[in-house]
Amino acid sequence: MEFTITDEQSAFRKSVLNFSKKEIEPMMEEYEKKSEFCRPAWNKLAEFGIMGLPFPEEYGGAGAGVLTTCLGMEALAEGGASEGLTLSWGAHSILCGIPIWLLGTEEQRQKYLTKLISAEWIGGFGLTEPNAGSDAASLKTTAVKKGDKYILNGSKMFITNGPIGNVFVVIAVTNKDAGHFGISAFIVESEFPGFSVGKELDKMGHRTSTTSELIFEDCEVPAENLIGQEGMGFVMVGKTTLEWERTCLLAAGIGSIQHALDESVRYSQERHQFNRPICKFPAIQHKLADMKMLVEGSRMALYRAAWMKDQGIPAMLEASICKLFMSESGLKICDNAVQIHGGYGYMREYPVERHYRDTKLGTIGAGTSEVQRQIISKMILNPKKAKGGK
Amino acid sequence: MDFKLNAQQEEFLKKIKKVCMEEIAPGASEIDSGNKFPSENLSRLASEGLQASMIAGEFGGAGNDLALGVHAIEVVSRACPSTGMAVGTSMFCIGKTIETHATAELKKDILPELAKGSIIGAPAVSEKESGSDISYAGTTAEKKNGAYIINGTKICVINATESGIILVPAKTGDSISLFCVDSKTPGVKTGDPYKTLGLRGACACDVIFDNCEIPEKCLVGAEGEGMKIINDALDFLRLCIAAVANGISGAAFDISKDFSENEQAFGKPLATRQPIAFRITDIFVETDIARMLTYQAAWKKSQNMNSASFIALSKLCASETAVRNTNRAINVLGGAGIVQNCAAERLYRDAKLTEVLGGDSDLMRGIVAEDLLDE
Repeated sequence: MEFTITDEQSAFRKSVLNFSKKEIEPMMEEYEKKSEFCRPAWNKLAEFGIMGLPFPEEYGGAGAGVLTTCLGMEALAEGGASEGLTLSWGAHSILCGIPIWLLGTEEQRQKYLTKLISAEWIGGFGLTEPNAGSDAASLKTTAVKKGDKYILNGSKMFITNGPIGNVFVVIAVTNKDAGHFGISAFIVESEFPGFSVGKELDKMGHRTSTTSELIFEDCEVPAENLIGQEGMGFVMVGKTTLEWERTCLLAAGIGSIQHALDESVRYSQERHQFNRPICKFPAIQHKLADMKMLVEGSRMALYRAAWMKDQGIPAMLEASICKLFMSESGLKICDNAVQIHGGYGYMREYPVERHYRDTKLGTIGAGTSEVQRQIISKMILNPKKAKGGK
Repeated sequence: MDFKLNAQQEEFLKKIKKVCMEEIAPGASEIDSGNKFPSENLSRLASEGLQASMIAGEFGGAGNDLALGVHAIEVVSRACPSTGMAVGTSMFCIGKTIETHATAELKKDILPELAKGSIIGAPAVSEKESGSDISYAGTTAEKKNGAYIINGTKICVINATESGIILVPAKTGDSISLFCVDSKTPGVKTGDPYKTLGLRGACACDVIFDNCEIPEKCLVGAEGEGMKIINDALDFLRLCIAAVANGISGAAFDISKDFSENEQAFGKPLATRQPIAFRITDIFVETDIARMLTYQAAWKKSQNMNSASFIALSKLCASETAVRNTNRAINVLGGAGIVQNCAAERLYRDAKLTEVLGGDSDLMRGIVAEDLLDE
């Protein structure tokens, strides 16, 4: 056992933290207030190389491993990048970029991945529908092959980067009788005929990331934009993307809860009541200790899943544990952070107010806590068949 | 980063686990109900090399680090928490403290005996007037003709009924020094074992020092530097308690899984019921987190990193997790979990002690917060 990161990883982490504090954090409050995508920050992320962190250098990426990518995203959020910004990155680089990189053809990578990495284009991912979330069997969006095209009909809901995206990985049913093996994945450009975007959705948190419905009305997608084989979309994309989603996409979450803790420590030292800083009160200290415990537990769960992925060890269980524990810890941590800040914590100008709203998405997005518990329980329990008669 | 033990360590744990599951687990209930010190278990584990595992090679040990140690104590405690607490306290709090701070002579006298399992160590820190406040000691050690005369009473001394050596902080002048006392020394008296809520096999009792004369070499570290060393000893003890708590959580998972997979309700296995399955999932997930924190804390301590607050954090997490998990296990087992001397009921009582021993949760939170505010 060994629990240190390498010197290079440590130096990289520090450089991202400094970059985030200096270049990104100062822009956040304004865009948060406007509830607007922060394109200047987005461009800076691209310049710094954040978009291409996990991808090979031949496509313009940094070729960083999973753990290093996680450390970078953690540092970005810890430095003050909003959850909205890091979520947009996740939809762009992980949800859209990873399936194209790992399952796409060389032509698809050259055409799309390079544009995602350079941030010339913005990417997104469409699985969820108005009436289907984690229950993939009830997906309604269809793709029918006609000549050298697929014709897509249906809609996708809650799509991060929907209003601003140029390209989306979209999951659609190609054979409704084949269950999970009748679902395929496509690369859909926003300029394709029949593609449109619904109105921007007004969210509780993650307000610097834009969200909308994607609508497909006889949308024409060239057959060469199919990712992998027909019918393998759900199985392959799901399998490839989920572990990445529950490591790299979550990594910023660690930075955010660390940021909430740091802000709370600082505030508790500055705020005086009854002639002493409030950090002198055990009731405040114990909240800080609980926050620290949950941050460290979440961090270990994240690093382990990332480390396993780097080692090529399957990490479905560990990734789900990470997602479940980190997101539920996030709620407790941010609740304590606002409580420690008192009235100020309820005010928009304090970042903990934002964390409190943003962190709620954690137990909902990418499979709710209930879905995670369902996944984990299936992996750890093996009920014996019922004996007859009872 | 490397989250795995090496092959040799895995092999060692497998061996310990086999003995624990086959020979130790079946007797756990009897040890509890009889308030019985698990001497046979400790001898059996010594024959497998458990007590020698963390002691340096030159003293007859295998020289493994604390990360392996917490794994091993967890494995033992999953079978019998009392046994884990008894042997772990001796290995961690006594063995590691002596190895780190005692003179070469004392180490040569004691460590090979601890490694063989022929003696057991007991920490005598608390007194009636002070538990976690180690700066207070009513017990005194007076230097006289090249010897120390110890007088005073310590309470809640785990392992004391069976121990060969006792680690005792005592006042020397204005400061505190730490001594390693042979329990057969004239003037050392042990009281009756307490009847505790849980961990009843790791019997605790009072230890009275009545003009107990010990040679100078029994001083651990320099005179007056006891506080620093006791803090170190407490780090070791808390790692051990965290490992015991993780073992208890693991046992709570085992009985819940087994019961839910095999027992039927309304014609279906309990494990197919979502509230039951999710409850067991929570046991599994929280145990997993507590374990990782404990392993990391032990590793940090082995690397001589500044780790007191991380150890406190892992002890806090592991013990409170064990209390929650044994509570959940009883909810899974229902009526079968509340009968006296069934595993669930026993584990529920055992878990509570991990929260209290070695400094309670309030104290642990204080240590963690102090470090946070200090940074």
